[in-house]
Amino acid sequence: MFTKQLQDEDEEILKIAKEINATSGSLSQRFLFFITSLLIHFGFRYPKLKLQTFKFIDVLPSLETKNIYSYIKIYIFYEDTEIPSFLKTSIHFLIHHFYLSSIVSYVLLRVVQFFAKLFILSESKENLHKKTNQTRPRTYDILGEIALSPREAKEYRKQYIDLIEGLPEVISNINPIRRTNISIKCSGIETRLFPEAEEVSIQFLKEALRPILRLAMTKGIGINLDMEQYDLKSIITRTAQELFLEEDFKLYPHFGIVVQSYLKSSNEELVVWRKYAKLRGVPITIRLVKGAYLEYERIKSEERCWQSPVFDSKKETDIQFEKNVLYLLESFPYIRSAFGTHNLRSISFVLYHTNQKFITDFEIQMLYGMAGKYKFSLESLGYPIREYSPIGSLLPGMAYLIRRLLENTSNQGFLYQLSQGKKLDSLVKNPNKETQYGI
Amino acid sequence: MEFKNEPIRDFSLEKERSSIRKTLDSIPKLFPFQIPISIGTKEKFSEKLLAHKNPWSPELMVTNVSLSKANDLEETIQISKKHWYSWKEQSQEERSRLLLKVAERLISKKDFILSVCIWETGKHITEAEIEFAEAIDFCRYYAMLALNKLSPQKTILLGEDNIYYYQPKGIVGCITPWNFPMAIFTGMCAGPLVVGNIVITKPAEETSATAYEIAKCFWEVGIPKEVFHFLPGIGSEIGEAIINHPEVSVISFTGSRDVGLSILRSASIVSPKQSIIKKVICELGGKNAMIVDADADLDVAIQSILPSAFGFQGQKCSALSRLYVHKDCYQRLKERLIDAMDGLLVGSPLDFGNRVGPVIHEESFLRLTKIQKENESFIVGKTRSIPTEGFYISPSLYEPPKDSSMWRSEIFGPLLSMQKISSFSEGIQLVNDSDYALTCGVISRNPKNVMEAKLKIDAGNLYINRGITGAIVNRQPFGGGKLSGTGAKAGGPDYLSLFVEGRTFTENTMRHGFSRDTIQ
Repeated sequence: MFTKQLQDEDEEILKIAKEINATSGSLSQRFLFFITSLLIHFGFRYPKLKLQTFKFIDVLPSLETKNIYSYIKIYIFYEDTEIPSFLKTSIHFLIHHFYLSSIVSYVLLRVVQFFAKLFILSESKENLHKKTNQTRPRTYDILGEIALSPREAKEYRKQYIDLIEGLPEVISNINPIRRTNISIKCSGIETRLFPEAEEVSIQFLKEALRPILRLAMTKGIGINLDMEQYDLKSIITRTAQELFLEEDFKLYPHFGIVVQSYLKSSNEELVVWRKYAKLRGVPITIRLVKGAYLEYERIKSEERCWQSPVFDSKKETDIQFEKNVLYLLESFPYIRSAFGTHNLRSISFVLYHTNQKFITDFEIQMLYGMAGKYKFSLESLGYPIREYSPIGSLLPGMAYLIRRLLENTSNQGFLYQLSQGKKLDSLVKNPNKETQYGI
Repeated sequence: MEFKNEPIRDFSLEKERSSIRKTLDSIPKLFPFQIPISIGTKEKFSEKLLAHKNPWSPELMVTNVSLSKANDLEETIQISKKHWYSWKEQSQEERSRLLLKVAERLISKKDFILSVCIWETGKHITEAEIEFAEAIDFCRYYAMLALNKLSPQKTILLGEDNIYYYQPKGIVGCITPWNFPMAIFTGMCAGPLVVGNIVITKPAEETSATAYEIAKCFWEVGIPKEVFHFLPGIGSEIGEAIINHPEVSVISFTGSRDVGLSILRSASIVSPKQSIIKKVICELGGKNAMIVDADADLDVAIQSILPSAFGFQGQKCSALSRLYVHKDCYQRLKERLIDAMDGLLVGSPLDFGNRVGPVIHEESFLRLTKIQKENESFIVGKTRSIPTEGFYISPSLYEPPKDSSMWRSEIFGPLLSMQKISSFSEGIQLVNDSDYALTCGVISRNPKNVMEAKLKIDAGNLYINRGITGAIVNRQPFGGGKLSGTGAKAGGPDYLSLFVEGRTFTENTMRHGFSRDTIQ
């Protein structure tokens, strides 16, 4: 009986997935999909070259343009990659012989900038107006170097304030319920966040956040506190819980926070959040994601000899994500849900269950520049999509670009699997499947 | 037996913070700690006691230390000689097992020992946590190393048995420093003990209470008090007595360059009653540098510089004090560094949010204040907000001229000098232009330069694209050459061999043309 029900459910989910996947999208979206697939193929076929390319992109912001070619030599030609030696030598000979190194440097810079632009909405707040005329709701994120001093943190705070001030109060052709939103990176606006001194860290972070939240409230803009590495989770979570209950903020329904399903503790966190939201009485938004700091968490926990706070396998994370989806939907209307994922199975799972429960007040969030095709089809099916849209200089934003490229070329990633010609049926398979076989 | 490093506590968990907080706050009611002299099974207090004050509230007397004298040492040595045989004849398995028990015992008293250390030294909680884990690592690592690496080697021929084995050297005098009273004290005592030596330790005056708590853990699990003695006191008395005693075979010292060199001199004199050549193991200072290359990730650079230069107030022999920055990023780095330094929270370690605490004592405070004053004209940035009570020195950044002593002499405080370089090679040259060769850092994304650094830089520990302090047992065996010491790598595969002597048995097993193996 149990198995039968699950099978029906999976079939329905597969149906939804097929429907989303069917539309081919606009020309530009198809072009982007093409580029992404190219990247993925490249990443899979030449892993050493991929590593060296990422290392090169990482160092690029620190280079003067004229030195770019010399780094290509060091990173790509001198290191062991899949490029055959004769090819390396001939390319180098050509460039050297015809004095092309500055031109090559310049072209490479532009190529990387081109890729960065695919994932970064705008270089500056000033150009934003042109782009916000679109019909798609966004949550904005400010890119940049890590804030390392009170002065740098103050600059970030100012950028957020300017951004809120500059954004239109309501975007004309967007449903007012999908109001503009800002995602805030807490470690950017306050540097004094120390796990061992949680109580004072929370005080500092609250002080940094209050003016931003107040301004956002006067403009009716939503605020979402992004979640970062595990070390800061407790500080950010507690800050949000205490702050959103303060007299000034307790009635505002457009605050949000993130729960990362790759954390083994994410189920427990949702339990706490539901209790909290019930107590507050005014809904808050939880963006459920899988988590963006996987490599970092693994490296750090190995270094500290910890049991890793994140799941070891993608499968476990996927299972946890689905559990979390169900819990969040059960928590409606105390909690509004936003689901941050590009995975077709996860999206379809969400849609199946929201349909079942007749919940319409939720959103799917996707990153700017990613999965354009799915965004298009979801929108045409009438589902709300919000784009997480980074703003900031292309070069310092390179770390962000690398995260996106890594995601796109990860061999566990959905797009990769799809580009490998895997059947959709097997890709949207229930992550629990093997373990539940025969129950 | 496999070695694993001890995990670091997860401070984002409330229960971890509150447990240490409770213990830390309960310490002052025990003041002053009365530290006895422990000779064999006997403990006694000296008539005169030496007082150590708390670094952030100097009106608080934390520790009263008994002062051991030469006759105490004599008594220790007589007892040791009587009991050495049974200790060194124990199996290696048994001694290693005891050391593993020491690790467990230490863990059971972790919060208390950490707290005593913080009250004695002014160390930050996370630094104390990491140091404690290192103490545990030393016990487990040396226990394992002794079993795996020091077992006898046999070369058996038809008519000849050859056995090469290791014998403990005898009496080891351990003179330990105050800056790592948990890790270094534990490591310096555990190493020689586990391979069967006698250890007579003189802990630093400033941190005798921390050292005593650790020594108790050794005794409580069954390491005989007759082979592990605790003689607190001052260097010029009991320290010197240990060094000069004709029956002390090995002197293991971690501390200042001047003292280390004078130990080497004294130990080279063979007194009439002496029938051994003393061995000296020295871990001395550093004048550690970092090169920031043109292509460096400045976020990484600053995140490496701050804790390396100002962690534990710069009072680490591995601390960063010379910074060489490529001209292409000099200005930008300097500005960001100064801003970041100004944001450092300086204050009592009881408030875990503070990054920088007080220096160890008034003497240090006055010495560092004097250096700051003398170099005032070269200062480019410093942390402005510091408490007025307590021995606080503001972390500060200088651009001293090339001939300044700030580039040469060890400062042991939160003072950092920086200089512009026009090429990476120039950086390497400047790094090597030093009496010391302990730690060094390179922040670069140019693999050619990184390779050049690995080949050319004189340093016991070279760190690339990370901070230069916080060596971890087994991963980064610690110690340097030149005037930084005798190159003993603590927490590394060669450390225990410093406390043993190789011996060979060769036995002719042939009798009238036959032997055990020729007769079938």
